Amino acid sequence: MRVEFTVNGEQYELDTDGDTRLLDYLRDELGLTGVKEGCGVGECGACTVLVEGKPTLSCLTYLPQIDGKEITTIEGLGENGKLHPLQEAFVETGGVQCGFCTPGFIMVSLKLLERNPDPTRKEIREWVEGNICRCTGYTKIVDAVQLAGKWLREKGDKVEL
Amino acid sequence: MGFEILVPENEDELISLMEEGDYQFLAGGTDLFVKIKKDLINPERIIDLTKAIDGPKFQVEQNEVKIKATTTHAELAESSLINKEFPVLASSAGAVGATQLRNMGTIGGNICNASPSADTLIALYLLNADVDLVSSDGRRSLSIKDFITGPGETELASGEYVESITVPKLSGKFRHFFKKVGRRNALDISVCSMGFILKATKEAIEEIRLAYGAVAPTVIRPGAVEDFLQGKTIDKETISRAQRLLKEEISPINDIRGSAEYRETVALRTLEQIRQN
Ligand SMILES: Cc1cc2nc3c(=O)[nH]c(=O)nc-3n(C[C@H](O)[C@H](O)[C@H](O)COP(=O)(O)OP(=O)(O)OC[C@H]3O[C@@H](n4cnc5c(N)ncnc54)[C@H](O)[C@@H]3O)c2cc1C
Ligand code: FES
Ligand code: FES
Repeated sequence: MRVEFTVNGEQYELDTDGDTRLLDYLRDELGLTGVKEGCGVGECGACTVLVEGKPTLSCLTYLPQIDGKEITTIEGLGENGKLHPLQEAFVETGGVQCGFCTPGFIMVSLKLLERNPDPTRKEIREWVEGNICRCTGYTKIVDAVQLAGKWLREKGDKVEL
Repeated sequence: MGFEILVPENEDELISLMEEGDYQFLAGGTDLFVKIKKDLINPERIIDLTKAIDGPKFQVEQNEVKIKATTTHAELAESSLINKEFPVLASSAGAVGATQLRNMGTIGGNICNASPSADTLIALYLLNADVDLVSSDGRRSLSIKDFITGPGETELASGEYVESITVPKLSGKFRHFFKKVGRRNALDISVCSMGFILKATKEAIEEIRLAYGAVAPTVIRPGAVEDFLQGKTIDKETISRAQRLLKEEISPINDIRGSAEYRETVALRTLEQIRQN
C-alpha cells in the first residue's frame, strides 16, 4: 500500500507491503540512528519515538500503521544546532553514561513535561517505567527530567508536541 | 517470514478482506508483533482494524456506555467519562505496561489476547461488560465471561471481529478498587491482580463484586465469596471467613513470576482491602 507520513517535519511517501518496522526504516533508510533497538519486543523503550506527539515503540510499529502521521525522533529536537533543554539537562546531570538508552528516555519524558512541567520524582519514575538503563541507576535520569522542568518553568517555556 | 498488512477503511472492506483468506487482526500490535517476533505465529496476511472501526471512542446511552474496541489504554485511563462512571476501568487501563504500551495497546486487543493476567479484564468482569461482535452474518453480543473460554482462548469465530464493548452503568455509589502485584510495576505481567466494587453502609455490605487475575486459567469472579459477603458486616472475622472460601476458588500456578503459594498468599491478603474505609 501507499503510505505518507512526516519524519521530523520532512514529508515521505512510499509503497510498502507492510513488513518493515518503523525502527528499521528510520535507522536504515533515513539514517536516524538515534533510534535504538534494545530488545525488539517492547520491553526496553530504547526505540521510543513520537507518533502524533505520543511516545510509541518503533520496534512494534510497521509502516502501514503510520500512514498520515507525524513522527518525531531525537534528531528532530533542538533548534539551530542547539540542544533541547531536556537534552541539555541530561548532559548537565550526568544522566547519560553509555548513552544507548538516552534517546528513548528523552522521547518518553518530553511527553511528561508537556503535561506537567513540575513532576515529582515518583511521577517521573512511573512515567519511564518501560525504559531500561543498564548504567546510571536511574537517579541522574530523574534528576535530568526535573532539571529540564525547572529550566522550562524559569524561562516560561513549554514543551509542545 | 514476511507478511502483508492490509488496512481496510470501513466495515464492508473489512468483511470482504476477511473472506479472502487466512488472516490475523492487528490493533495496537503490542501482543501480535511480539508473538511474530518470537516465532509463535507466522501470519501472511494481517488486517489492521484501526481505520475500519471508526467513529467516536465512547458513546453514552441511557443505561450503558459503548467503548470502541480500538480505544487505547491511555484513552481509557485519561477519559473523564470513564473516570467518572467506571473508575476501576480507568485505573486498570492505567496499570497496563508502560507509557508507550498504553499509547499503543487497545482494550479490544487486551480482551482478544485473553491473558489470565490482562489488566482491563478485571474491570470488565466486575462491570459485567458485553463484547459486541460483527461478522458478515450480522451482530451478536456475549458477556465477557462467556466470550473468554481459557488462556488465550475466546469465542471469536472466524470472519468475526470485536467492534465495541458495552458497559452497563452502575446504580448508586460504589467504591472502586484495583490492585496489581508484580515484581516490577510496568511491563511485568502480574503475579496477581485484583479488583472489587463495593456498595456498603457502616453496618453491612449491600453489594460486592470481586475479580481476580493470574490465579486461574481466566480472570475469575469468585461467586461463593461474593455471595457470602453480601449483607455481612465488614470485620476481621468476615474477612477471614471470606479468605477461606476464596482459597477454594482459586488455582494459582507456579511460573517464573511467582510460586503458587506466593500467589495464593497475595490473593488472600488483597481481600483485606475491603476493610479500608
Ligand atoms: C512489554 C509488554 C508489557 C505488557 N504489559 C501488560 C500489562 O501490564 N497488562 C496487560 O494487560 N497487558 C500487557 N501487555 C500486553 C498487551 O500490551 C495488551 O494485551 C494490549 O491491550 C494488547 O492490545 P493491542 O491492541 O496491542 O493488541 P494486538 O497485538 O493488536 O492484538 C492482540 C490480539 O487480539 C486480536 N485483536 C485485537 N483487536 C481485535 C478486535 N477488535 N477484534 C478481534 N480481534 C482483535 C489480534 O488479532 C491479536 O490476536 C504487555 C505487552 C508487552 C509487549
Ligand atoms: S527495542 Fe523497542 S522496546 Fe526494546
Ligand atoms: S546510559 Fe547506558 S544504558 Fe542508560
